[in-house]
Amino acid sequence: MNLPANLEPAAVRSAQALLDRVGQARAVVVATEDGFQVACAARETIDASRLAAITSSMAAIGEVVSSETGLGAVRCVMIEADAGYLVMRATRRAGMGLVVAALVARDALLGLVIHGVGETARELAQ
Amino acid sequence: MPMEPKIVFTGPPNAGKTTAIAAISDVAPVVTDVANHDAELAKQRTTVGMDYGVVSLDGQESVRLFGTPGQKRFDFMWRILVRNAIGIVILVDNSQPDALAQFEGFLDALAEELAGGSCVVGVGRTESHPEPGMDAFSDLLAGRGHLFPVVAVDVRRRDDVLMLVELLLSQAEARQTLELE
Repeated sequence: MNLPANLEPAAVRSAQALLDRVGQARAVVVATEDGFQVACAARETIDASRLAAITSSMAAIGEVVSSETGLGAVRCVMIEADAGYLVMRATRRAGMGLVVAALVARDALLGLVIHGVGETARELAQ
Repeated sequence: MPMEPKIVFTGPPNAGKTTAIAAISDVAPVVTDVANHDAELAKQRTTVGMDYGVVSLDGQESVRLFGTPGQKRFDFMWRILVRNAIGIVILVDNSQPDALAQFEGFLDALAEELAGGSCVVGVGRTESHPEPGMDAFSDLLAGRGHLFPVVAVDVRRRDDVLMLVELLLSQAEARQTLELE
């Protein structure tokens, strides 16, 4: 896989920064649009490559849902579950589609997490 | 509520799952393809979520068509999409040097669904790559106790894909009849 220059270090930095900023975050993963792991920062052992593939599927399905229902551009795709949330947001850097995903515990402030994932996505787009 | 039957197109990357659904769907198919960044896979775009289409066959009800991503890293989507399907179409790209091994990977991953289920195998690019022959695929199936049709197809041809769907439906119907008796 050929990643754009400097993508990997930038993604590693951004993922770690988001994890540090959100105390309840369990993991932050940056994936390519076709499901490869670019970076992962985590407080526990997770299968980041698997989560990368899953988030790329979710993001693609989110895009379809939005376009089929006239919802406009997707901002984030989110799973709410008993034990927490998975918040995903697509972005693009040097022509390569990416997805930022944050896995957070239930006691996280969801608004802050969505904002944080958005910030990370914008950071990576630069 | 009776539901229109669902069939699933699966198989390795580049076998033509998205193309097959597009070839027969009566409606514009739902596709979730993105740019492919895997240098080992020579294709521009690749499905990461699912494909969806619908086809109504002569004098019959509509059939819902679902397509899976091909890469192993998306195997969670395979399992989601085959739920409640009346049968599975496995497409194979015979131009891949490891076409048989790729095929076996799907037989392993879907072992549970294939046991007692309906399936048809469509082998593509056989004109440029006649080997392995259809018998090799049938033998692999027989070795696992499966008796499924294996046919050479060009998934760009509507008639070829319709044949796969019809083979699958008649198999599922026969199975249903047997179960009722």
